[in-house]
Amino acid sequence: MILRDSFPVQRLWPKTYKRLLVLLGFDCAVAALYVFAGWHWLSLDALPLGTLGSALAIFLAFRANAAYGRWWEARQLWGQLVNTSRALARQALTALDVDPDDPQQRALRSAIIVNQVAFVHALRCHLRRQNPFPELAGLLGAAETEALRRYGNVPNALTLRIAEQLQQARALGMLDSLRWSALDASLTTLANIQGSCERIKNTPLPRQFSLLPRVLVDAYCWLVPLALVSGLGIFTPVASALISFTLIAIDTASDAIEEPFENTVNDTPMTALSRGIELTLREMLDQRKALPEVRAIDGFVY
Amino acid sequence: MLPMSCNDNPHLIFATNFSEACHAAIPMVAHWVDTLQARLTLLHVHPRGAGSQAARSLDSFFAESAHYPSSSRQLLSGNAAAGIAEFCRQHPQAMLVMPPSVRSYLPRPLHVSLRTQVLRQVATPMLTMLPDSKAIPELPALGGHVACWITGDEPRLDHVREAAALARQRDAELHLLFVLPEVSEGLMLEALYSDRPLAEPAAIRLLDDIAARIGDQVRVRVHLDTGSTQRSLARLLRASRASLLVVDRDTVVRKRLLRGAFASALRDSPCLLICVPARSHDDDGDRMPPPNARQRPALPPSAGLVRRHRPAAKAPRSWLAWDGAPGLLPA
Repeated sequence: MILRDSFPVQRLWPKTYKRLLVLLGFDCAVAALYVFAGWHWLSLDALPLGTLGSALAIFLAFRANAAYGRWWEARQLWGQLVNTSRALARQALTALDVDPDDPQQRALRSAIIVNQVAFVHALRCHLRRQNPFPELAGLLGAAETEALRRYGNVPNALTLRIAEQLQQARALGMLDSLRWSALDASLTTLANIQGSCERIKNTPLPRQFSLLPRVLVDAYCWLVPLALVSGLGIFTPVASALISFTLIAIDTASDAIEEPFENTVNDTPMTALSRGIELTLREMLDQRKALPEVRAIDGFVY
Repeated sequence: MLPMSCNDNPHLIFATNFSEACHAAIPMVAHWVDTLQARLTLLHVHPRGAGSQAARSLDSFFAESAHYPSSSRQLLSGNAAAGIAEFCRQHPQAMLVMPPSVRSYLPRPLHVSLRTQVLRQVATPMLTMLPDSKAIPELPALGGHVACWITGDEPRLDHVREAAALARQRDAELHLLFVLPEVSEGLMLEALYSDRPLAEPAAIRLLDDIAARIGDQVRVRVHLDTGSTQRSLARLLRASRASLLVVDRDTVVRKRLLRGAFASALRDSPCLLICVPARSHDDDGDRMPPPNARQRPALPPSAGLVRRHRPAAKAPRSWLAWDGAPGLLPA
């Protein structure tokens, strides 16, 4: 996620320069042919272009809205994950009847919270297609991590493990049906959050919504110099390049935020959020491990 | 002696400037750490006077590695290339990971590649990828294909050793790639100054000789193509389905006016790249066979053929295995 106040425009350059340079060359050619070679038949009436511009604006606005909707939903889901993780940890700490003299019961309560931390990290890796096992080995230990290697969907396996631990707590008499039901509802919320994130990850924006604006932007940008040249003459490339850059930049910006779990600067800052969840849950466990917060680097937080 | 992955963890040094390319490389590094059970060091060299900001940034970069069983962060100050090289000199058995700089697609006439600067100074292999790589390929858990590009101009076969060690460690197939130049008048001049094979039979003999030195512990396939190096290499890499290409350092770094640059021949490579500098061993077994010795050995390949020429080694010869091993391939 970009936190800096100013957005560096040169960030758009790598994705736009090819289209812009080709269009600039075309603009210059049109202006030169019109002014110096007297090819006045190149000039187009501006009226149809205005109509096309209106249609294009609708398409671009729809596309930008749809892309932003995905990005914002991803951020909301991770916000919900923060809240649910805290709630689950609080429930585990307060709803389980733990005998202070029984190390097994104390360990079981801690294990539920540590597994919740592991779930958050595993979900981040799952969405970024990153290997979670070195991280989980540090959190859960080598033996438990080896057991998780059998699963393709590691975060789901971790929710199952937490559910099994709740079942064990119930068998040990630490939990009655009513409280178990409340804790299980939190687990279901976690599963729903995971499912929603997977939906965003695995379902791209319908291709026609991505492709049509791009085709229309290109067509419009090719026609713009022809409509402007009779009025602006040799200065056509300046105005035409500005209009082209504006449209292509909107198109590119929508493209950049369309996939919020791709490990880029436009992502939901999952590393920072998962570290934040871990720090909070460890505080609740009174384990103040010396882990620093994840801060923005050069205005970017991941 | 056992490969390092068996008797000691391999060591990855991830040199970072916190760029987007470095962030994009994190999943690849995490995968290597898990696959090879490697130790990880995150290294950042900052300009003098920027220590506190650099320390905060280093703590926030690749934050998940704080949980890795064996990882550390190292902050140095001074010149970036010199600092990285000095750190690598202190850890000669490690492999350096350096992603490319983010491409701006704007003219950079004074830009000097940090990777080539570092590559010239270090004796450790460097894992990197090309700036145009759309997606960073993954190292398969086991199996797969490792390619090694042989130009014939390399003085030593250290890169073949690294490729063979990695292929055996991953139980992968090793592909030796060779590109013959197209026939032209210039070839006559090249023949005067270069020992590299210019015809197919000589190239096949060279590759067979190298394959024989590797021994039968690794499945080796030889690929040959003729034409433009860039296109032919891309074609051979596609044919071999390799996810990893091992090359000699001097093949990768091309000298230009006042600066070095990555060889354009690798521009279309879809693979991860391991650049291997020649290590300083007085070891005939690691030298490129001279042209008049490029004949297939009459005996079946055996490690003993090479072993008897080899004095006791003093320095590490492979990132994945320490010395003491006979032949090109560490035991």
